[in-house]
Amino acid sequence: MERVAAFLLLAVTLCAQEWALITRADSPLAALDAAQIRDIYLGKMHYVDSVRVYPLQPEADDPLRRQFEREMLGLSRAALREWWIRRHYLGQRPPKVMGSAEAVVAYVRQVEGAVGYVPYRLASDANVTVLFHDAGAGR
Amino acid sequence: MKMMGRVWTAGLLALLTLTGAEADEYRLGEGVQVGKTPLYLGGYFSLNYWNNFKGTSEVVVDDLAIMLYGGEGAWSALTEIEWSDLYRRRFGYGEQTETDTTLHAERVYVQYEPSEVLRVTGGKFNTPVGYWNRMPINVLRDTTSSPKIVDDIFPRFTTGADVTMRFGVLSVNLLLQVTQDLDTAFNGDDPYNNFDIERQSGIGAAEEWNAWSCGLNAGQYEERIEEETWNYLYASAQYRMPRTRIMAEAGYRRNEANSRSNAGAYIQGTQQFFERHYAVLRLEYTTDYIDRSEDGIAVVGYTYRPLFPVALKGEYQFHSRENEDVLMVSFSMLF
Repeated sequence: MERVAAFLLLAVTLCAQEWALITRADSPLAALDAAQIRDIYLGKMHYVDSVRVYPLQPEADDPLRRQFEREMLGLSRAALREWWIRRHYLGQRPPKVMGSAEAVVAYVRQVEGAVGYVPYRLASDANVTVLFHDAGAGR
Repeated sequence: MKMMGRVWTAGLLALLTLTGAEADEYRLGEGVQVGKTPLYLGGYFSLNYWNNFKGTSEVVVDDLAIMLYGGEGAWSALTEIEWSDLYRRRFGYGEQTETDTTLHAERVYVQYEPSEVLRVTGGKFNTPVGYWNRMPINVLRDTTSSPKIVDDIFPRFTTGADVTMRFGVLSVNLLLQVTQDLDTAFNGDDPYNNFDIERQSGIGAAEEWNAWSCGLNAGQYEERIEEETWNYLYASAQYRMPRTRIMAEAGYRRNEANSRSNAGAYIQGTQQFFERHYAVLRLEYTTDYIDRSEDGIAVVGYTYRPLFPVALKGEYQFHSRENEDVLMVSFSMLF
């Protein structure tokens, strides 16, 4: 059983994508740490350095979203669903869902304070600020 | 009062026709967007049954509520209206059927959050004391019943303003009320609160780090009819892991004349032992200045959630006070 778990962990790690959290190029935000990103994506933090942030996320079945939820939020899909259902009672909504990584890039370029995570290859080509970079399998 | 109910019903029916979500987009427990607006519609209900095995039992449609909320930038708002005790049927001793179609304003507030440090709430909201009172509806609770202390120490609702300031993991709040409960504006002098108050003030501090969190609150409120002022102190703590949660609260209140007081505490453990199954054990202690008696309570509960926003619960309460033991079962849903 331990070998199976280790193999699965290795497989997941090797398949992990390289990604970046991005925002507008002219944003006053320069960088975010993992704790800040977690708080933003769980709705606990709405401002960073006086900038109102609007988190974006991919569709539910996107592999990058599953990787992000597992590695950055540390929560299973079921636990996240429970979290946001409780927040629904408090009048709060989960991050906005975007249909594609290209849509995330387009949105963050237009909306001040919008932050989203995309495959790193898209972030490096676009005119955006990289707030956090995860090398994925290349760690 | 009836006109307000008709206006609310018509407004909600109009909103429902504007909801733009297709059937496959809606997920139970997450509300539905109203067209292309930044507004979301949701609600919940609860159906309860209790039996004391001494000849009396009841079925109650306890809560039927509709929420509408939304926000733009630093501003947000929420309105929640509720039919409470919509239907009650008692069997056995004192057999009777009651219905109450009175519509209540459960929560109606506006929030302004201009920075990471400050949040201001104005209107009627759950008094931010402890854990249980912040998320009090049946479907989100661990058991059908609430710990008795939550009803006995502080006002469950505040109609006024709350200012919360955050300093890293620490948050401090000040709250103030100088009017009657908001619900009395629609339903006469009958308040929708556990205490009929017209003045309240309070201060609280809460901290969260990793799996731990704790809070401390102190406050004062004035009961309207009795014209009696009470002071209270309340502490809470929680340890939360993915499948285990332990929470505890303790409170004490005393009137300004120093002639009466009551106190209480509970500790509760919740364990998820399979994907959709939860076991709960709660130990409570309360004093009651009216009867000058105390009650020790052990609550053993089980919850089945086929989906998280749907809860089927059962619990049995063992009381040290005679003839108080009771079985409770409930079905509740959030949509």
